[in-house]
Amino acid sequence: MHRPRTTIAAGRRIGSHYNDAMTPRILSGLFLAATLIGLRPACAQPDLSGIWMLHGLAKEGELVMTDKALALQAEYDLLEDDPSLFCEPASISRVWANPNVRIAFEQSADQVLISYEFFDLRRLVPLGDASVIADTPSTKNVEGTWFDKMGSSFAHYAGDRLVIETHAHAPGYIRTSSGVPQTGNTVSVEELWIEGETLKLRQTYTDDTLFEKPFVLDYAFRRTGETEMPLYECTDADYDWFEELNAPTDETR
Amino acid sequence: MNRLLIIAVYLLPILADAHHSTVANFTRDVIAVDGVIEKVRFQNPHASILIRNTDDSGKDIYWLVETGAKTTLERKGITLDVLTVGSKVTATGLKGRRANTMYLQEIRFEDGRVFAPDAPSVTIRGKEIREELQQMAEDFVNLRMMQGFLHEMPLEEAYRLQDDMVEIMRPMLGEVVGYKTGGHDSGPGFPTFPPDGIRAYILSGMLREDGTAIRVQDSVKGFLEADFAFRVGNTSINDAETDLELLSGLDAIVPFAEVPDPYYDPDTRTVNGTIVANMSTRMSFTGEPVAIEATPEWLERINNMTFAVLDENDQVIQEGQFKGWYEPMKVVRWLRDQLRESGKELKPGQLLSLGNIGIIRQIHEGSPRGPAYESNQFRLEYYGLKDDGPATVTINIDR
Repeated sequence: MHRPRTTIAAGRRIGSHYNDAMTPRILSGLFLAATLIGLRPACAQPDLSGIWMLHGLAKEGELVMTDKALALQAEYDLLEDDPSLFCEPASISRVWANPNVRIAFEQSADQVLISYEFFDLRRLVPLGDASVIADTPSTKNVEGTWFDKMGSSFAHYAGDRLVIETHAHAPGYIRTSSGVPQTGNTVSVEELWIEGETLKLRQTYTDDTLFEKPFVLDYAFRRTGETEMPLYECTDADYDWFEELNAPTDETR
Repeated sequence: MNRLLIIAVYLLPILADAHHSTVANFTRDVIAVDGVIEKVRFQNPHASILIRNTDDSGKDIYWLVETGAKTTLERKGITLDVLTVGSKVTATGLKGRRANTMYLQEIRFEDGRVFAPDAPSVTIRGKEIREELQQMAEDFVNLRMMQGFLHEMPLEEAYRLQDDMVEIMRPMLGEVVGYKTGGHDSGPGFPTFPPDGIRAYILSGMLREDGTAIRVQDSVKGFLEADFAFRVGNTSINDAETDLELLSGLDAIVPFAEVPDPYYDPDTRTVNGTIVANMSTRMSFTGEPVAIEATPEWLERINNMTFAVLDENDQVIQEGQFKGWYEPMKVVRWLRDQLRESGKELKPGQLLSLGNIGIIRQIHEGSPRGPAYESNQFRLEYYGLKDDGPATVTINIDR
């Protein structure tokens, strides 16, 4: 069985009726609140500017899945169900874990914009407490297609770390190679900090329906020294045309 | 034209560089298919080549040969222009879990040309790189000036080429007996090191016994460097988290000094070149190991040790200490992590040289880094490690 083949544009089926015009109004108010409650000590917050690339592989902590997670994993067919086949991010961790693609940060007073070369994603994370979280996904691609598998995020600075908390994930896969699932109950906390010239990221997934204990992933990124973020322009895997080439003909049936 | 060959189960180091799903989408079985290139798709997340194979009955069977992302290939300066439609080729790669697919290792043309974008040492571009590495290795071993390495590439790829370089050097310089590091963020950096540190191999043929006399002509740009090394005691170090856990994976401090020989064409020296050339590691000198224990007291001793270099008349040339600028366990951790990220696990008995600890003397006249050392001995002594006197390692200079 094959899933319907999609183009990038088909990803819009996930989308919502998000109104871009709402963003500045919500965020400016939240910035004031965040400032007042001292969430962002300006002297300590990490400077994430520049373009980064994964350095080494993501390191997985201990993974203890519940029966529900194991059942979801058992149903997963890598060759058919991996959202990457359709140029769709399977989860936040899937996007961080992709090698050889650029990642850029733009930090401003009230938000952090994370640009991922992979799938041309733009993830806009408001700064503040849980009240600033949008009721829409935080991530869309440059064509404007929203991706709810990367959930809705908000962030704050804690000392020298940027801490991003994400809720409202659509069902997807934290690890596409092994089918580790996520659900709407899943919460992700990403902590980002700088060590020398390395950007460190620790991502902790909690979901008591899926994991017996928090599932932790560690990543390191190095600065590339590049200044350009080229377009990725992902093309769907689309194996149909190829499989049809080898399909039995009337003569060979 | 009808060959489909299951070759072997082996793995070139392509998967570390591959799109993550690649690891799961392809088996480790290496297969080869003869055929004609029918189509080439240069795109993200995977470029691919369609090859038509004709079986014994004359039936056409199509194979989809996938390779890296367009952006990854472009960053390496690789295009698929060489893969012209209609070319007769043999494609070798990892058998896909999806029928009639493979992950490209190499495409060999009828005229003998080879294209293998993920294994630079055997690619058309990499064929030149392989020759370059061979030349660098021969130049280094034979005390000739090495050309630098003017290729832009991620550090991971430079380290893979360092692996290739070491493979080339192993027949001349022996087996891997350890690793060395330098330029990390606890200790001195260097302009042609990556900003967060560098590492290289120590091969058995580089080791010299304590007190060995070297001649000035044994190196070209060599210098005497005071270092500090540990010996791996057991594999627990690969997963150690705390400093004490790291220490319990080590069984000895090895007094260590070395003579690197960075004889590069000065106009072409690069960070990648320093990595690929294995940090131009020439000679490593080891003293009597000092057994250590995984205790807070030993951590204290290590962090607070002092050291000095003396000449043959027991005159102190320079003194130093770790406290305040150099954290040995931080460097061990960095080196361990860097090796793990490169897929390497530490083994008992291996040396871990933590690099320059701040005392360097030039052997040759005319170095921009200082005057030539005139004494006949470079004796490094560590204080505070042993109760019965300093731990030492000595390089003698036979003039």
